[in-house]
Amino acid sequence: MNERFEWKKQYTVVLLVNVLYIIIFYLIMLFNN
Amino acid sequence: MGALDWIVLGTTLLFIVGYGVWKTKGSKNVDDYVLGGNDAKWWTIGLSVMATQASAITFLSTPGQAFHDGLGFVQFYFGLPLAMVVICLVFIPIYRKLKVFTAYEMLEGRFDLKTRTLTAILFLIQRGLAAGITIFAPSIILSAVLGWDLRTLNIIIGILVIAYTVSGGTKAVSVTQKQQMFIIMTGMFFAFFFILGSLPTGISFGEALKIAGANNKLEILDFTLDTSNRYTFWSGITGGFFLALAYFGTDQSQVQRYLSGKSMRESQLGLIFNGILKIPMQFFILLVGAMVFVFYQYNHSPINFNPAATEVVLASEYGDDYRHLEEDHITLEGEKRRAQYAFASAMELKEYNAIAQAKEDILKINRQEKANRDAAKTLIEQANDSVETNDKDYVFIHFILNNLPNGLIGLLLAVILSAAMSSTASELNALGTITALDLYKRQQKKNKDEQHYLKATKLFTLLWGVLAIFIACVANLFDNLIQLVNIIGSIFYGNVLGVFLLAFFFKFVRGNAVFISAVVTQVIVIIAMLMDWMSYLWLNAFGCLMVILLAVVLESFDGLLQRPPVKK
Repeated sequence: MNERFEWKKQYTVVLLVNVLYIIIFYLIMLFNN
Repeated sequence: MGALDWIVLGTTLLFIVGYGVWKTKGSKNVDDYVLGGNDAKWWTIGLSVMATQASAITFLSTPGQAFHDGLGFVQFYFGLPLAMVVICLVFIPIYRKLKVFTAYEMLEGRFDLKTRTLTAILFLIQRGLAAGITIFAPSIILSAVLGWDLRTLNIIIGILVIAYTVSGGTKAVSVTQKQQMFIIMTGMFFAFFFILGSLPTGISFGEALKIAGANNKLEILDFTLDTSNRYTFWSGITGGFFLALAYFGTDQSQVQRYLSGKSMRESQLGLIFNGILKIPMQFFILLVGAMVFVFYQYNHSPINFNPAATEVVLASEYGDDYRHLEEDHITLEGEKRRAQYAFASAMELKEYNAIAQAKEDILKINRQEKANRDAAKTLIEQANDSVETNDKDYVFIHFILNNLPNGLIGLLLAVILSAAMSSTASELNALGTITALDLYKRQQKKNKDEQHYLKATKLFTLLWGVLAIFIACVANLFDNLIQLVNIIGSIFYGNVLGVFLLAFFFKFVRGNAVFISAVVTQVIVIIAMLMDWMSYLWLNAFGCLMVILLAVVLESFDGLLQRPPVKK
């Protein structure tokens, strides 16, 4: 059960990190255009 | 290219090949050769997966893409992390549980032998051709700009890859890919910092970004629903997701990388590594391209970067018109430099009216420059319509050869050749494995010993290597072969992905229904391509949906025939 929870957390982190990239891209666009 | 470049290039490539052969010689059995003895750690898998996807064209073409069209191409990778999660959750546990050597072996257990054989053959056709193109594509560009003999270059790249892939199998592929990735990233970082250091005094990285932004090169995200734009946020999330799912989940050249993991967890972590680093890596390569663009705001660039195209048009009756365009281009470059300096100094003094005025001037000049570049392309096409007018593949290599110092040129050429070798190695490794295990071994009535199949896998890897070199050598006899290979990829990919999705998510569908649907779908997709029903990029999604729908209908129909609904 615990291991499953750990994995869910890791997959969520992968997706959140990528959402963060997209936010960073948005900010780069915003401040340089 | 100076002597130092030759030394850097030669030493790097020979060291990688020599180390790969020496470190991994003596595979004892098929398991050792095909799955690397199942002892790969997650970072090896992650680097290997990234190195397999990043071919030479990634490093030649992507910076050129950013130079012309900005950083929007990164959106194409937005669906990839989600695909990694799906593969970790669904695909890997099944592959590991069934202890398969190839992705298609799983299909025999789930459906039947004929479905396994069909998908394996579809893979061989598509990957076999692609392996030739992975060698040919960088060779044609390097031979055009460096004057090297195309055929010799094809043979050299091919032999270097064959040397370690045949002798050491999967382990040699992943050991060398770690070094190749190191060379690739080191080379790209050096190029990036060299460009920043070569910008005029006062133009920092921050200012360079502003300049790129003022020229519309930083339009990274496009949320519009316009289908005529190839790269938007939405097409990246949806199309990119399906493409990544098909490529990483069902293509043996990728599946074999993570099947070599020490445990299921190592394989999953390897793909997570890819899911976290892929987007920043692609963004960085594109950013290098955007910095090349800023560099050329202050330095001379040719009106068309493809030297072969320029040569053809100058020797034709359109030569004088082309020369006039070149003169115009040089005048515009002078104006552009003045406008860029005005923009940078207005930025420094924070004079907002002056900034707006300079930005407007720059955009006007760039519009004119683009019109000139387009006119140059038209002249090239008129001079000889078989010459490639799109010069995006030549932008970065032109920059490397004309602006980088000696030594760094050799390193960047090593980057390009390493990338070509890393992709080709995975492809040959997968082609040899599929031919030996899915076709040769499976069709034998009597099982032979391990050594026999080990030798057979090595022999098939060698034969595919020779075939790839042959395809690379005859590739320039055909017009637009690269596009043809992409089209062939799109014809088969969707169908194969559909078969895998049926295996994982549609438990009630059985072998016969899947096999018939896959054959019918393949015929219809080929007709769709020949009759031009849709852009070839959509053939993937079409094939995938079609095979799933057909198999579900056939299976339900078959179920009804065998168990008619009971009348009350």
